[in-house]
Amino acid sequence: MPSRYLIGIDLGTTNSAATYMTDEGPRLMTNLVGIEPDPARLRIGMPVEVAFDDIAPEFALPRFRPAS
Amino acid sequence: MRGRVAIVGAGEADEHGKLPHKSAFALHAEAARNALADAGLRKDDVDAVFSAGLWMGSETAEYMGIRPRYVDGTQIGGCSFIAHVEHAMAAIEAGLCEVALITHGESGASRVGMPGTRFGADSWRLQFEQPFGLAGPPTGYALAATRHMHEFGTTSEQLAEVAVATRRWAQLNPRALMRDPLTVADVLASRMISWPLHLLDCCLVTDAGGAVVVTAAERARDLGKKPIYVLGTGEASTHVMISQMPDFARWDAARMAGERAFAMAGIRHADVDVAELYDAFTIVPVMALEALGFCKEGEGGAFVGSGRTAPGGDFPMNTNGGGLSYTHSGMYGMFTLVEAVRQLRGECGARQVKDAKIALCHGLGGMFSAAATLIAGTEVP
Repeated sequence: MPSRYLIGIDLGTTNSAATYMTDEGPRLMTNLVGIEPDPARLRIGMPVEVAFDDIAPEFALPRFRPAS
Repeated sequence: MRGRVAIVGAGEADEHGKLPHKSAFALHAEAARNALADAGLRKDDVDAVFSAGLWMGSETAEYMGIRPRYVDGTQIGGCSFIAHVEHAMAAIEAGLCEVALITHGESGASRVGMPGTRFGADSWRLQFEQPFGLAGPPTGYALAATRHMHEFGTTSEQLAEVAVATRRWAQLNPRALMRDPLTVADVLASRMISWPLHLLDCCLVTDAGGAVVVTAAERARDLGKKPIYVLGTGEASTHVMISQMPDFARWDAARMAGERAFAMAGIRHADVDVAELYDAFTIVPVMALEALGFCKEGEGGAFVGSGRTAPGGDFPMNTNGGGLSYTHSGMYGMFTLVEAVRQLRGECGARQVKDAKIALCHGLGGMFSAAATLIAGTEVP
């Protein structure tokens, strides 16, 4: 999955809700992390990479950060 | 089935707004009573009950003291009541019932007699979307609005025009809750709720109820009021979670519902005199106009930005003041039906669309998840 597409952003709170579509098609709800939640900085289509967030011992949420 | 059934009664709860002294069921019942009185029918004439809420359809019937032989509790969101008209038409045509009462009551603001939510901890939405901050409808609709802007260049100013035109209609409706003057600048200056949607891009949250009565066209002609014939209907559902919307910039369910409704009605878009398009957020009617074929894909922003949907324009839209300025209980679709009936009967006073003969109602369900369309007219063409 070399490229991914951010296709929506929401900055109503401190987080950026986004949907992320893999090259293969499946799409999931996620958040953008590692970038300021500012519409001027976030781009639809920007490449991102997964950043698992261990929110509890048994649970990790797949969030995404700009690709390095 | 064009013209085989008619809406013969339409009504609302006695009051709307913030009503901490009334339960959701009381709002159902008030609206039902008023719609039956409007139709010149008695409760005992009703043999089919249709309603959508967070409870069973049969509970609504029990509250009203009706023992129907046909019950439909289809719940596909705020457009459910428009779909109920289609279902009632099919049931009446099949000989399963004669007089269908479709009711809506929701204590959306005061939450009196309301179950907590239909999305519990085990729902897909709470498992797969809420952990990422999907806080409710504004967040989901913001995703679609963002994509629409990205693909088509739709602007916040164009979205604001929807709220402004709708407010101008509300100013002509004494029953509308929001009647103060409104400008595009006011909308853009209002608090950001979920980028790019401002507070005034979002509908009201109120306590309200509405109801309509549907029966066969032959019987309708024996009743007191002018029958409002059901000329075409359509419904569709494509997803529940917004992340699974097939295409964020295109409302597929609306396209599917609209295609069937227009085909059944056998009319052209130019024949529609008045349109009541569910407006939970300003982006919703923009995408509905495109999906229903009133303009080309991507041209919805320019369509609403032209001012033609406001009073005096050539495309009267949301003439009661819509969910943005009239009322929005949570499932607004019922009020598109009530307003269409009133416009077609010529009962609308200052906001009356002159010589309105064909109306189109279009509802929204969930997160652009479902849609239902109804085309109604004073005559069967």
